[in-house]
Order: sequence, then structure tokens, then C-alpha cells
Amino acid sequence: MKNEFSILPLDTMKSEYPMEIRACNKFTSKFGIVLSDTEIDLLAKARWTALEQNGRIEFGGGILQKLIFEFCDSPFLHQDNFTSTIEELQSIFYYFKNECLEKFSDDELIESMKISFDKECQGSTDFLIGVMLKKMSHSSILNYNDRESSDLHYNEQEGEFDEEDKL
Amino acid sequence: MTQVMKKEHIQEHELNEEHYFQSLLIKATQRGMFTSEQLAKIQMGLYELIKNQVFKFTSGESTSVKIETAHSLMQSIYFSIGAYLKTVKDMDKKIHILTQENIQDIFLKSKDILKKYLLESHAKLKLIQSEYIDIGNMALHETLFDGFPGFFLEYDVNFKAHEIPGGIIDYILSVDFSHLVGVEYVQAYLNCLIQENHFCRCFSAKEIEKLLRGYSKTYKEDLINVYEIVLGNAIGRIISENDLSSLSITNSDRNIIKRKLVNMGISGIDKYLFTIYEQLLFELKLSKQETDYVYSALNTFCKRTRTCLENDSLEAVFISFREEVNKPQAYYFDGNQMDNDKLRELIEELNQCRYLSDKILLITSNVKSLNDLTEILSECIYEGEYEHVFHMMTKEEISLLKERILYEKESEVMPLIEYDGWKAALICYSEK
Repeated sequence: MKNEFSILPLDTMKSEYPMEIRACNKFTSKFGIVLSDTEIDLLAKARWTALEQNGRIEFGGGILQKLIFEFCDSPFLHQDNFTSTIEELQSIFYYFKNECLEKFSDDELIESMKISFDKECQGSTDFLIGVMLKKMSHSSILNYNDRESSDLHYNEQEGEFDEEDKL
Repeated sequence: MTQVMKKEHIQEHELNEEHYFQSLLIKATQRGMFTSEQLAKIQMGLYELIKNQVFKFTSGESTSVKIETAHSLMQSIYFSIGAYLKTVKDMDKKIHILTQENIQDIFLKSKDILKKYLLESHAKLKLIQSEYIDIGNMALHETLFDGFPGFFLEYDVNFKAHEIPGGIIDYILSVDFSHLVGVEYVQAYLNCLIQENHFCRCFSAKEIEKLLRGYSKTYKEDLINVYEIVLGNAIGRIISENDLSSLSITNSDRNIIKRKLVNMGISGIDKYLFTIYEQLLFELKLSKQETDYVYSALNTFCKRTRTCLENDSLEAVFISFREEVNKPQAYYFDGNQMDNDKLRELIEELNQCRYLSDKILLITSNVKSLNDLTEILSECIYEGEYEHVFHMMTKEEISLLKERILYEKESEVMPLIEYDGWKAALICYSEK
């Protein structure tokens, strides 16, 4: 039973995704950016490639929408370079999710990328990787493991289970 | 809607115990037990389920996870659903549940089942721990007091239900459960351990320890199954027409057993051993569950006995006790031990002595007890000086100290440690 995902409708998931991206145009058009269907398909395919290259998988909407919303007002992005930059940013994002050992949320990482992209990197994705790595090495580590994974909590002192409604 | 064409029925033995849900899904799909709409509904249900699980696992902070993480989450989901489906006896009903019920609802029910198993298993562990009699086997002790408590502390029924976390569970049972995982494994393991424990409790711990010592000098460190060894000798006792107040089998008992079995032939031996089993169970007055468990070992026991009979090695099945390593005899009367403070003062003075002769004089004047002497040997006497101290001692004292050293080594629970300097020197000295 090696491929646990073979039962899932992954093709269905892939085909539904572009519709969510199309909806972004309503917002991004205020900044002079409108993605064509071709560009949306390109970004949707690039998402799966980036995930595969970084050994990750995504269920649901993914971060593409968030990236588009966050970066559409960048002074360094305009209609001509928006799609290619977002494609690169997507790949960089998944790379950093691995590098930071899942210790940053999607929102924190995207926000940090945007700030660096606009300030230190002056719109260059090439510099972004180096700047982000430096930032990560200095930042405090968020404890992911504080999440309670079980609603049956074993009380070691009492030697019994306390049942709690957690999830 | 495409008509469901119910073809060949699925038999329980066709399904994989560890990957129960996946194997049922595959077999049912192959045999056309789902319409395409039903299958699509199951697939979408699973997709929504894994999406929710990823959301919860990441506390809503991440839409993506590493593939290995997603694999593990999916395995946990499949294992959980499989555990629930196993509680449904009828195969048609299992299929009906998958086609008619929402996968999320099935998953929630499965978590309730797993939590129930967890609580039941924990109660069983507490029972076994309360009935535990220390016979010195390290694997058994660690499994009960480290391995399983670690499991209950760390088991994650929500996201890693298929795993067996925690400490080491390496005590071997007479039954193999490697086809099970997660809390199902723990539940089955503890059920069996209870039966084995109850059987062994029919005999005294002292008898069992003597038997295990006869089985192996290093039984405390070995990975053995105590129950099988005890069962073997209990059967041997009955065949050799002895009672069950002891587990001892002597050479002459073994000769009696051999004479009885040697001309029986394969089926003859099996039938005979079956009657002996019945006699054993009658005498021990075990419960039905315990009886069934003992019977489950019958075939393996018969096979092993026949093989050992052929190879003239019945001593591997019907084991003789081994003489214990002699504890130090009480015939030597030690002198009075010094007061602790005085001993510490003497040790300090000895460590300040420049010459060995001064040390020897202080020792002969002040030390009357072997316990004090061993302390001084450890703290104040060094290589090159030991023999001079040993020269002062009587043959009796040397012999007694040597026995103490060897006895410590035999009864160590942990792997053998090297001797301290003076201990090695004393053993060499005693062998001259």
C-alpha cells in the first residue's frame, strides 16, 4: 500500500484550482494587474511543479491566492512581470516552508517575503533567498508542537486518562 | 445511475489486517461493488477528510505539508476507518456503510472505537502491572514499566493512530502480532500477555526463576518467552507422572518422557500430548479464555517436541534446573565494621601516606571487617600495591571476597561490567 494518495481525486483537485485564481482579478485590477486564462493555467501548473520539486503536497486552495493578494501592490511588479515573478515566489515559498521546518505559518512567511522583496531585495527574487535565509537564522523559533494532538490526555502522575474535548 | 453488479463476495481472509480499509476498497472496486458515483463520493469524502486533518494538524497555519507528513496523516485515517470497519461483522454491511454513510462520520466513529481500545488496553496494563511478579527478566520488566507507559503517554489517536510510539516493547509473546499496528497491536499484545501471566501465576515465582536459570544463565538479559518455557515443563511434569507443585524435570523424568514418546509416531505423539494438555488444564482450573490461549500453542509445542525427540534433545523442551551460583557462605565471621566517620578519617590518612609500608601498618591496626577493607581497596590502594594488601589476608578472606565479586557479576541486571582494578587483581591473585 505504498501510494496513499492513489485513492484521492487529485486530478479533480487540480482542475478546480484555476477558478479560485481567476477570482483574484477583481482585486488585482485596482493595481493594474489582470491575469489572463493562459497565465492562470501557467501558475496553476507551476504550483504543482513547485510542490513536487520541494517534496510537498497541498490540499485545498493553496497559497497562490495569498501570494497574488500580497504582492499585487508591490512597486516592483506590473502587468508584464507579475506572472513570472509570482511563479518564482511560489517556488521560493515552498522552499522556505521546508527550510524553516514548518516553524512559520503561511501568512508569516508571505508577509516576511513581501517586506524583504520590497525593501532589501528591491524587487529581485534572486536576492530574496539569501535575505530570507539570513532572517530565518536570526528569528525566534515558534513552537509548533504546542498543538495538543490528542483529546485523550494521559496524566502521568495519576496514571490515567483525562478526556477533553479538544478537536 | 449505473446498476451495481454484485459479483464475487469478499471473504474476510482476503483482506490485509494492517491495511484493512485500503484492501477492502480495492477489492470492492475490483468486484464492481461500487457504482462510479459511490466511488467518487468516497474519494471526495477522503479528500475533504485529509484536507481537514492537514488544517487541524497545522493549526490552520499551513495549507501545504511535506509529502511524508501527508502520507502519515492518510495512513492514520485509513487505519482508523479500518479499525471501525473491523467491528462490523457482516461484509455486506461494511460495503453498505461505505456507500451510504459520510466518510467524515465514519472517521468520527472510528476515533471513538480507538479511544475505547486505548482505555481498555490501559486498564489491562494496570492489571498486569499489579499482578507482576519480578522474575528478573529485563525485557519483560522494561516492556511493562517503560515501553507501555511510554506508549500511552505519546499515542496520538488523531494524527498518528497507526503508530506505536513510546519506549521499547520487545518482550516476546508466544503469538506473533507483527501484522497489527497502532492501538490494535497494543490491545492484542496485552490480551495475550494477561493469558500468559495468568498461566504462569499457577506456579511459584521461585520455581519459575529456577527453571529460567536452567534454560539460560543469562535469562535476565535474554529475549525469551517465559510462558512457553513454563508450559513445556508443566507438560513434562504430567507426562513423567509428577505433580505441579514444582516445575523441576530431572534426567530420570526425561527418560520416562522419552520412553513414553519414542514409539508413538507423529500422530500418536500429537494425540497423546492433546490428552496431556487436557489433564494440565483440568488441574490448573483455567478460565475458558486462558484455556483457549493454551490450546493455541498446542500445534507448535507438538512439532517442537517431535523434532527434539528425533534429535534426542528433549532437554531443550523439558528443562532441568541449574544449580544456583553459590552465595557467600555464612561460615566466616567478619570483624566489626568501623564507624563511618572513623572510616573516612582513616581513608584520608591512608591517602596522605607516602610509603606503602605505612599504609599496610594502618590497615592491619585498624581494619577488622571485609566491608571496610573493600572500601579502602577502592579508594586508597592502587596498582602495584594490591598484592601487598592481599598478602596480609587469610586464604579464607581471599576466597570470600572472590565469591562476592563473582556473585555480583552473576546477579547484575545490566550487561556485564568490567571489574574494578583491585577486583581483577584479587581474582588473578587467587588463581596463583
